[in-house]
Amino acid sequence: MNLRTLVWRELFERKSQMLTITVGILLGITTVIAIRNITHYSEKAVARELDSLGANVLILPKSVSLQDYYAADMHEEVIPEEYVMRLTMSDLQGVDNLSPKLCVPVELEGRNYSLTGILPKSEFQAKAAWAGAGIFSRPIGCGALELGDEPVEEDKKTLVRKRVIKDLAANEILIGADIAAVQRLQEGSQVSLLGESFSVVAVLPETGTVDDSRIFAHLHTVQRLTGKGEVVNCIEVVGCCKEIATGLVAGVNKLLPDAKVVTVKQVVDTQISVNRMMERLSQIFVAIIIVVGGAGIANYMFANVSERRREIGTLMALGAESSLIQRIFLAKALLLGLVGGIGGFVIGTLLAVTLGPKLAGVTVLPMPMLSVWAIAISVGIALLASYIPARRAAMLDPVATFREI
Amino acid sequence: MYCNCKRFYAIALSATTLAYVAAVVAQEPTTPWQRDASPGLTALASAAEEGRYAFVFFWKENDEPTQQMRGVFQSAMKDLASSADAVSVSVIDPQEAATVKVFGVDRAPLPLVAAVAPNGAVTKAWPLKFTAQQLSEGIVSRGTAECLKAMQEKKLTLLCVRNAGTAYNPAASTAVAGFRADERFADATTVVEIDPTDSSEQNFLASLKVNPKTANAVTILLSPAGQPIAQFAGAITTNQLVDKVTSAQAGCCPGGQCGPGGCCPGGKCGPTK
Amino acid sequence: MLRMKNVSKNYMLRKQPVAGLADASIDIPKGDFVSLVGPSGSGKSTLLLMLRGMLSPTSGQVTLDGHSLYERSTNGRAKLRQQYIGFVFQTFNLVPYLTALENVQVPLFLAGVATASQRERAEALLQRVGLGDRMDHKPSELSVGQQQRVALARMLANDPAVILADEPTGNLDPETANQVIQFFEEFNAEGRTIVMVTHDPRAAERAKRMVRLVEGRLVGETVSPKKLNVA
Repeated sequence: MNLRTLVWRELFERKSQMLTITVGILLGITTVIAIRNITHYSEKAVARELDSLGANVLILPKSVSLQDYYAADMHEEVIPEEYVMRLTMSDLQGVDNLSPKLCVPVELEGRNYSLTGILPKSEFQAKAAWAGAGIFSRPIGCGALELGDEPVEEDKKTLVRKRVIKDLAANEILIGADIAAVQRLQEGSQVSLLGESFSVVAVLPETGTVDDSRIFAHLHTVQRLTGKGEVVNCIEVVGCCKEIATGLVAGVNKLLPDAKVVTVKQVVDTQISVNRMMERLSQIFVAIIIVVGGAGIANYMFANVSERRREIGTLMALGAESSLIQRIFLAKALLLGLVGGIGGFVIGTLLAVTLGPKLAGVTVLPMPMLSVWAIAISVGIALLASYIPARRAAMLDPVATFREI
Repeated sequence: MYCNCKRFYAIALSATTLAYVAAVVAQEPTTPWQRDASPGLTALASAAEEGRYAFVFFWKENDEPTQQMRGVFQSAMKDLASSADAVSVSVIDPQEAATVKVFGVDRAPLPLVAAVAPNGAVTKAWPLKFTAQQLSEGIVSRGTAECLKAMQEKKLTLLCVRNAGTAYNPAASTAVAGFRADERFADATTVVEIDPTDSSEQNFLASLKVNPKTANAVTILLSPAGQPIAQFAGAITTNQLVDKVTSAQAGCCPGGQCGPGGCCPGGKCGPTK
Repeated sequence: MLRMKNVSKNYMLRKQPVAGLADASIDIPKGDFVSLVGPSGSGKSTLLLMLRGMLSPTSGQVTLDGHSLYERSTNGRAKLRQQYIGFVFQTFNLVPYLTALENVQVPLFLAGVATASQRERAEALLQRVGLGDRMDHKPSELSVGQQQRVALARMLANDPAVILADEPTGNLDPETANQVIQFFEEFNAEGRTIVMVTHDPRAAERAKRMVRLVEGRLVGETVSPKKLNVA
């Protein structure tokens, strides 16, 4: 017989009560851990994407709402392809590169991928000079000099980062790293898509984004095979920073009044604000757990004390000091807190790891540091909420406990 | 702003620049067009041979906006008749397939007018809506047309602004010759000569921020995208030119990349190539 | 062993007047077996509580083996209780979620006895009260008589010199009551001092002497004839 047996046996004597209160703490901690875990990795993903963003302005159909830069072209709405030439022939300053895209789902060996039609630079670059003599007064310092003498293969690999490639033949495709791995494809492989045969000219380096599951083909080929006409889902624009700050977006808006022009900063800001919201939500949850959970525990403990008056009286009659009585109740609170904290961390982490990719589109890994946090919060609340009931138990008058019965 | 090419050549022919004028002349064939490929190209070739501009009106359907713009185009061409020919091309006309292919306008916003210089450069294009006044801006100086042509061929342009009166002409010539001899740049470089005192070039020089009364020869490096990479006044060396080009190639933000955080987000530059 | 000197007590519990004591004095020597009788509300339980050190008198003095009980702190009295006093309740007050063995172990645990010896001693005590085969049963799995015997074993755990019992046979049928009183006689024979509050005349008679309380006053004392014979 020791303190542990005494506490342990009592817990299991009142299983349903114990279960209710434990589940209460557990659920609260689980929710907070899951939110925190997903938020953390989602933030990391945003930061990583910020680092590797290629384009910074997106031109979309008016009706499209945008949550994710990488999935900007994954929708049904379209804009005319001629917008590309309107842009290249305009005297807008600060458009360094353009990449129109048309995205359609395709099936390959039973798996679904996104076939993305892109327009190689060679097909519209020359038109840039059609803007006339005004281009010579454009500012220096946006974009590096390209002399068209780089090796072709290297150029294609940079697609994911630079968003534009120089040349692409009608029957050539570039594939994302995931597809290459799953379908065992490599450069030179032949692939049949939408009834036509394509040769893989490059496997793109892994990015950790949906780009890894994309197949890139010539825009006009995709348009022809899908019968969609001369349209695109989205035009990615690589703009020069200074010009974006000084009205490039307004200029594009004026030029293409029927399209929606957003900067990637806006997209990223949306993501960041979603994350902030989740962060705040988790803080609110913590507050709710502290208030509701704490009140629940306190209530449970008060009830427990009053239910056990006689037992407390007996123990006191048998020689128990009041500090021991207090310890019995606090030990019980500690145990509940530990179970809630550890269990909440484990379940919350499992939830985050399994749901994270579906909810936030990011890979979520367990965060051991959160366990410390979970246990601290859970045990802290349990002990604080139980302190007064435990003191009350310790202060019970054993005489009174017997008289009442 | 009419192109007085012939007269310009007479002035520009000075002993020190003879070699480069040869290069310039070599780059301006009598006609850049394949004469018999289509009616449109035939018209363009004829205009080029006569040293005249050609304004090409591309259209698809004879709808109201097209008719309206055709009216604007035709009245404007009357004013420009002394220096430019009007050409009309329907992009869906099978006979004009070669013209459409050369200009790559099958998916362009139509109607579209392209101003084509005698050297084959498209000096400006106007999609959908334009005014007669705007169309007149399509006729540019010889130097401008040369530079635009180089751009449309995705070439680096070495623009030499000088005449018999400028200093350091030999040094500039040597540097330019040395640059052209560098096998890394030889095929991708065009040299264009301009006389700073040429009245027709004043607007072009102003846009490049070159003082027309310069006492020294001015050499300007223009990127294929049309940006001035560097401008040198007076003595230069081949190395200076090469340095500027290589540093521009290894620029901080390849492809002009700049994320929401500014140029090179996070202060890190990705692999340049 | 136990002594009360001019003890008075008047108090209210939850706004109800509780039977108090009026100038009560009693001297219980070592090895005595006193039964305390009287009508309900006469102050029997109050007197017993006071002897246990759980209810301080308004005036007067209570001493246990020469220690003045109420000059000590609550925890000090708890210690003293642990050392000297075993208590038997009318309702047994076993801890419901502990087995018979564990219930007996509780006072040993409270006294700081090591777990192994706790077990050994508790087993011996349960054997002694005839429950060697019921050690791992919870109170709810035992008969009333068995429960009271577990309570007796628990009371003996710390080898008390004094046994205080409050209606120990009150909830029992005559046969089991007889059994319990037999145990008391046994304990008394071992030299333990016993004070027992009871309503049951047959139980009261088996004490060495019987003290009567009426309205908080000790009004009379009868020396048990049986015990006299023995003496």
